[in-house]
This record gives sequence, structure tokens and C-alpha cells, in this order.
Amino acid sequence: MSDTSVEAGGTPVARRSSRDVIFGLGVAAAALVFALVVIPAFISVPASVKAAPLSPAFLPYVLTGLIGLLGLVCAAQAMFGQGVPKEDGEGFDPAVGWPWKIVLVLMVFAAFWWLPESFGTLPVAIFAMAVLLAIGGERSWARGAAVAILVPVFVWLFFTQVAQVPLPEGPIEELIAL
Amino acid sequence: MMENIGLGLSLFFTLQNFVAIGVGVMIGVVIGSIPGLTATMAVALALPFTFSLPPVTGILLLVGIYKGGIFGGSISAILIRAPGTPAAACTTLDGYPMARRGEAGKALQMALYASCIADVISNLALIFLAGTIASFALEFGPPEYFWLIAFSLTIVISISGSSLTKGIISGLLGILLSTVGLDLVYGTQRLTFDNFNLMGGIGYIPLLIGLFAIPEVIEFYVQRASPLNVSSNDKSRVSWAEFKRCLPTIVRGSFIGVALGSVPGIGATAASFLSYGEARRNSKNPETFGRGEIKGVAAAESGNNGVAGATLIPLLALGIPGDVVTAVILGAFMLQGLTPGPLMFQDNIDLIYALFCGMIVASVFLFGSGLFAIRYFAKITDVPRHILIPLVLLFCVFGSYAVQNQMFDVLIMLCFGVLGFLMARIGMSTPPLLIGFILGPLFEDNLRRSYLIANDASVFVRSPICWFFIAATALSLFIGLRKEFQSARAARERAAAA
Repeated sequence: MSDTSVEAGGTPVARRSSRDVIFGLGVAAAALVFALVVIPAFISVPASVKAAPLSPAFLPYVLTGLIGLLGLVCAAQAMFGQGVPKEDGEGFDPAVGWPWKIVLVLMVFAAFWWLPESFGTLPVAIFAMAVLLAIGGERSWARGAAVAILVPVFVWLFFTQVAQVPLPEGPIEELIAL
Repeated sequence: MMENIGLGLSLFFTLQNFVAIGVGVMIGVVIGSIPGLTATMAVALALPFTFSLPPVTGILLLVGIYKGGIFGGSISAILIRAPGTPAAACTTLDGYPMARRGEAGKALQMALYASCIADVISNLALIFLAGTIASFALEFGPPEYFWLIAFSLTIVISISGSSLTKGIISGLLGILLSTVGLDLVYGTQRLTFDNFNLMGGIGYIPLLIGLFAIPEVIEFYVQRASPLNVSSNDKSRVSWAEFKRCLPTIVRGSFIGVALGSVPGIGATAASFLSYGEARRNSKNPETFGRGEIKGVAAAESGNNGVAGATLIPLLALGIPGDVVTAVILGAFMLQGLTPGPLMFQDNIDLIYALFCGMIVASVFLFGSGLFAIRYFAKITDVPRHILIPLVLLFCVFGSYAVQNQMFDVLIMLCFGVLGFLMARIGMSTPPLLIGFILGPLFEDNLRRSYLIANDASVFVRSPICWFFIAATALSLFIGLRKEFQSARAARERAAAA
């Protein structure tokens, strides 16, 4: 099964997508695991519940069941039905060389979550800006450095001084105190 | 009555009030246009400044910020696909594609026109129908709310993108995610995985920013060739013909906003999606929605701005805040020693009339501030994408943190960003997830409260309002599904013929 197949007239139409089959079956399997393992383990149902709809687990069970069912429908549509042409930008393009860039972007994301409390939001923002400018294609070192420093400083000043948001300041807290 | 109107006018016509409205609207537009900083936050931050102001001036300052904030959200939604406010999420669907094809100016202009017209209609509804609508809204108990929410959820069909099945899965996933946190009835933990950060549930601002803005950031870096700038010389403007074409959509969206805004707890986000869904359903070319259809911008913006005046209906007429912003405004009333409700129409009618005048003037200021903002904010599109995209990420990170001052929200935002990117890649629409997430708690809460009242399923058909919304839900499902199947068939036929 391929992502796109060629109709009799030679027109590529997204049908019988193996990815949709995998997606649908994956959703159904995840729903099954969620219903059998996750909901019983992570939703406490008090003994005093009088009617099923009042139970904290009622809606999660109903939703999980429906999601699983629709996953199977999705897989069935992909296997037996006629697909709908894909919209712009939809679906992975294996020709696009994205893995190393996406790894870097995910590392920047991880830095934004992991580092601000230790190093302060501003230094992390400057670091992230510099990395993203570099992988985004900035050619001028001088302009890149100026943007990487000035833009985060401006945004940081706006949030801390105007919007009064107490962003984690890390080591620069002492510098500001001076 | 004329004497009261005269008193109200004399109370309103002071330079201080005009300055308060102008400053409020401008602050609202700027704050609203920054992802993460919502109109609610701006109104709450401005509340202490109203202590020393006269009651009318203080309240008009807050109302100005609220109105400006609701419109401001559309600016970043259109320009960088990062909705400044949750209510502007729907505007991204067509506003951003318009900006990408070099029509940012046109999209912003239409957003402004739709916002101002909806705002005026909403104000007029407040002035002339406050009593009637408020008494109708009082007829709503949990079962009626339940069916109203069920009806609102049917818009998932219209915003499902290319795959209806995946769109519905997305919507159901949104409702499922909204169940995370402490159970409202029993206080037990649900899907918190013993993480105390999740006990209050998943924050909707980080989720919103993550779903809509971050996929665009990731997409930029995974492309081999950098996309062109959004626009280098955008001179696009709304033509008179386009305006006339969109006017019925704007008026319909405004009334949807008024209707939903006058019912406490529904909010502008649901109104904008419902208005969008209706516009798509009534369109002769529904397939153009989501690809830069100007009517989509008009529908979304009229829906969310139609709520702005109408949320004050239950507040002024009954003393019930319709949403979080009006709850803060209620606080401003109380700080001034005023108690909104039926008695206020007897004891402080001059103040009520002064507020009505102020709200009409605020609509005019909104138009002026909007034109000014469009002129300068539209320059954002000239910033090279490789500089703009990291800047967007900075605003997303800082904005998500600002909601509750915790890094956990940044993590939530980033995770939903990756999820949004993957969903887009597999052809799964993200707006249904958002609408499910926002309406989910209301849906479940009213389902369970209805059972608590009667412990019997017959409570769901107890009144004509219930039957009306049951019929509307069934009709909406039938028409929506039929139209989607027809569109899918037409798309297949077009592809086969091409």
C-alpha cells in the first residue's frame, strides 16, 4: 500500500494510505490501553458514586471508546474506502532533509524548559535566539549577534518591567540587585 | 427617562472618560496582540488603577481594555499564526493563509471591520435587550446548558479539515484532555499521574499557543528551502464588493456572539468557532474555508467581538459575570461601592446610561486604534522569517510562563507544539481539539449536574429549550455531515478530473 495511488485515469489520489491504516490501528490500540490500563490506574472512582454518569471515569471511558472506534473507522476507510485528496502541507515529505534541524529545534525547546531556572530566562533566550538564527540561515555574524542579544533583552524587559512577570532570572538576579 | 439619559450624558461627557477609553482600547490592542498576554490579564492588571478614578471612568478604562484586547488577539493570529487571545484562534484558520499569500493588510482590515460592526451590534443588544435576554438566560439550567454545549460541539464537523474522522478524533481528544485535573464533584484525581502541576488541569493558554504557533516554528526549520517572507509590499485592501459579500456573515456572526455572550460561561472562543462553522455551512464554496477565505476572518472576528458587549448583559442585569473578564469588571464595580443587578437600574440608572454612552464611544475608538495598529503592526510581515520565527518562539515561551508563573506551562506549550506539528503532518485538524478542550468542562459539568438534580435521564428533555437545542443539534449534525460528504465527493471528482 502506498501513500498515493494512481487512478485509472492516471491521477494521483490519496487512498489506501498505509500511514492512515497505521494511524487508525495505532489510535485504536492506544485507546484500548488507555481504557484497560491508564483509566483504572489514574482515575479514582469513589465508592459513593450512585449513577454511572456521575462517575469521574464515565466521560473518559466514553471518549476513549469513541476514539478507539473512530480509529478503526479511519483504518477501514484507508483500507477499503476512497480517500480525499490531501491538503497543502499535509503528510511527511521524505525528500525534505529535516532530521538534524528538528533535533536542534527540539534541543532548543528542551533548553527553554530545563535551563531557565538554573541559568535565567534571559541568557537562555539569547542562546536559543543565536542557535535558531544560525540554523535559520542568518549569514551576517554582526547582524546575527546584534539580533540574538537585543531582541531577547527587549522582550525580557517588556515582560519583566511592563507586564510585571517574574521570569526566572538565575545568576543575573544578583547583577540586577546591584 | 429623558431626565435620566440627560444625567447619564452629563456624567459621561468629561475629558477624563474619553482619555480612559482611548488609553484602555490602545493598551488592550497592544496586550491582546502579544501571545500569552490576554485581555483578562490586562484588565486584571489595570484594576488597581481604577481605585482612584471615578466609577464611570474606571469601568470604561477596563471595558476599553477588554474590547481592544479581543480585537488585538487577531493581529498576531493573522500575522504570525499565534493567537493573542484564545478567542482569536479561529481567526488563524483563514487570516494566516491570507497573510501568507500577501494579503495581511486585507485580512487585518476585515478583522477590524468585523470586530467594530459586531461590537456596535453587541452594544446595541446590551442597551435595548439587556432585560429580555437576561431573563431568557435565567431559564437555562444544567440540562439546557448541556444541550447548548452539545449543539456548539457540532461545529467540529465544519472545522475538521480534509478528514472528518480525524477531525472528530481530534475533538474527542480535546474533551478527554479537558478531564485532566481534580474531579469537580468528588475532588478525586483524574489523569494527573500524581503530578501536582496537573491537578488544576492543563492550562488552555499554553495549549492554545502550542497548538497554533509552535507547529509554524517547527515547520520553518524542517523546510529545506526557507519560505518567502509573508509579504514584502502588502498593499492589499478590502474592496467595497468584498465588504458587501462579507456583511451578512458579519451580522450573523455578531448575533451568534450576542446570543452566546449573554449566556454566562460560554465565552468568545466558542462563539467565534460557531460563527465560523455557520459561515462555512452557508457558503457556496465551503472548500475555500481554511485556505484564506476572507469570509472566514469576518465570521471569526464578528463572533468573538459580538460577545464583548453581550457578556455585560448578565452582569448589569442580573449581577452574574458571564466570563472571567466580566468577573474582574464586577470587582471594579464593587470596589466603587456599586452592586450590579436589577437594583442598579433603579438606584444608579444615570451611571448605566453613562456606561452605555462610553461603550458606543469605545467602538469608535476601537476603529481608530485598529486602523493605527494595522498600519504599524502589518510591518511585522516585512521582518525576515528567520528573525521573526525565533522572536515568535520567545513570545510563546515568555507568554506561556506568564499565565501562572511556572515553567511547567512552558513544557505543556512545547509538548502541544510538537503534537500540533505531528497532527498537521498526518492531516488531523487542530482546531477541533481546541474547541473540545474549551467546551469539554462545560459539557461534562452540566451533564453531571443534570444527573445530580434529577438522577434520571428524563431531565434532559424537561423543557422546550432542551427540545429546541436537541433539534438544532440533530439538524446541525445532519446538514454538516451531508455537506462534508458532498464536499469530499466533489474533491475526489475534481482530483480525478484534473
